Amino acid sequence: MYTKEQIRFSCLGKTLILNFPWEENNSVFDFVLNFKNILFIYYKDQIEDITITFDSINLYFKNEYDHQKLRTEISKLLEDSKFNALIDYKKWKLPVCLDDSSNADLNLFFKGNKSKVKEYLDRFLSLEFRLVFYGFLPGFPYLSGLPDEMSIPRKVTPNNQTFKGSVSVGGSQVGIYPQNCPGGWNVIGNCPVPLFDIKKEIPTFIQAGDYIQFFQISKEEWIEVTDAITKGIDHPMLKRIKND
Amino acid sequence: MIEVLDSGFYTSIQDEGRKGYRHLGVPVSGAMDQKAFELGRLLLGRKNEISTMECTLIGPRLRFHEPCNIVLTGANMEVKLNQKLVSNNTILNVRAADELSLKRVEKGLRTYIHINKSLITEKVLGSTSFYFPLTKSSVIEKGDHLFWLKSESTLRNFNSKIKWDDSYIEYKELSVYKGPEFKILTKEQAEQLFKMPLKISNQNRMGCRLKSSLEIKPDLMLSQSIRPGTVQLTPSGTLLISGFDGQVSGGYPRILQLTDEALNVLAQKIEGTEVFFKLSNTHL
Repeated sequence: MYTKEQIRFSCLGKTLILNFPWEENNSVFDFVLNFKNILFIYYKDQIEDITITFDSINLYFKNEYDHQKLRTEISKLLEDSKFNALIDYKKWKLPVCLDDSSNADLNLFFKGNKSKVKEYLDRFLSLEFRLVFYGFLPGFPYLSGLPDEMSIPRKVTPNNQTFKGSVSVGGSQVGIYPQNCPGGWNVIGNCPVPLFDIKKEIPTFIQAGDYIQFFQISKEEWIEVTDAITKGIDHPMLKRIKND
Repeated sequence: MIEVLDSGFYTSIQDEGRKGYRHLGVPVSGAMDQKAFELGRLLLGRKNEISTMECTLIGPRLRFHEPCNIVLTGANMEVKLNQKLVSNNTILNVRAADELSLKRVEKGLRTYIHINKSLITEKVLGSTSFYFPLTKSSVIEKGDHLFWLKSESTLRNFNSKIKWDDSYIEYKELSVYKGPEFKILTKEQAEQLFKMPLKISNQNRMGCRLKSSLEIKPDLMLSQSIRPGTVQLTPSGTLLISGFDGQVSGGYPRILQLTDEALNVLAQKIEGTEVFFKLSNTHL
């Protein structure tokens, strides 16, 4: 997919960064995920973490390293590796409440034009997103897949309080707030299902590379599901989440 | 058991940190001044059975209900053990019912209290470091009772005072490497960056801010990975330096990266202090 000439190497102290020319394109992202796995296995004992973003792979080395030697090694790994495009990424369906109380920012952006808001949300529900990485806060997913014409600039002054579960748009990125916190993204709805649960051995059930589509629920359903989750009981809607 | 009589300004428990979870968006946490943290471990000598409290600006007042040994490192606060002044970098013998009180900082910002006991606190993702909302609280609170695991603990070099150079606490220079987006600065801006004194504001565990006169065009950069010590430049000229509880990704140009040594220096700088950047001559 990429040649070694296309990788831009840089570093932040003991973090080695590989940047790739980004394209909103699934096969490009599959390549990044693939190559990340290859690097993880190869450098396992030498790193404390490996992360990806939209256009980068980041290796957090435990100790100082020889930059030149690594560049050569990684370039060779890139040339020698076989890339497997057939990794089985999962598909998820997430409930989202889109009523007026959940999408004030969108109303503001469209200056109260209800039909434009509806048009935007209808199209939003038809899209398939992809979880690229977790960042910003524990369990905050960055999703790709929003068409350019649907991007909404980040707010100049962040909200004092963006609520847990807020499905929001920041530029052409989509994210879901894992907790209440100040936020500069435009809230368009609320997902009652927490994506990050610290009590679980693997706190996230959706992994980088997985696909996500949203389905609309009413405010009443949102309250019901939130209540069920808080009490730790099952709800029929939770069965709809996984869609393989 | 330790009874918290007074929590101080911002006192948290910190260990080696939560490494290996950045891919879930979880910051590393751990001590802001790694050098002072390591020194405590060195002095008490039993790495796995030491608990450390990081005290910021004004330290706590603690009552020990059982005997133990403690050592204080990092910033200088006025510290009294039962009304008697004690000093840093010395192993102290604490008896049952003793009271330890730390006052406002005199030199530096963060003091570490190391206790040769394993405090029983919440362990989340392999670490006991406080970080809300992963842990229930971000600080210890007045009235808290901190219990510890019973263990036989004998110290080899009891009462030994190690000679230790704490001069870094007062350094004004922060040694840095160039960051991935350093090139966005013009030649003049790059020169200016290493000349101007920069005043520290909003100093906390997430990071701190330095106001500069550098102005850059806003750029719709894709979010990128950052780490403690990464210096991002906002369009209005604010330099954001990530701390150990800072976000794992950021959206502003990463123009510099502090060396590990500079992170220790910065961790000891009180708000309002002026610092300078100096390009490191060691290459990474």
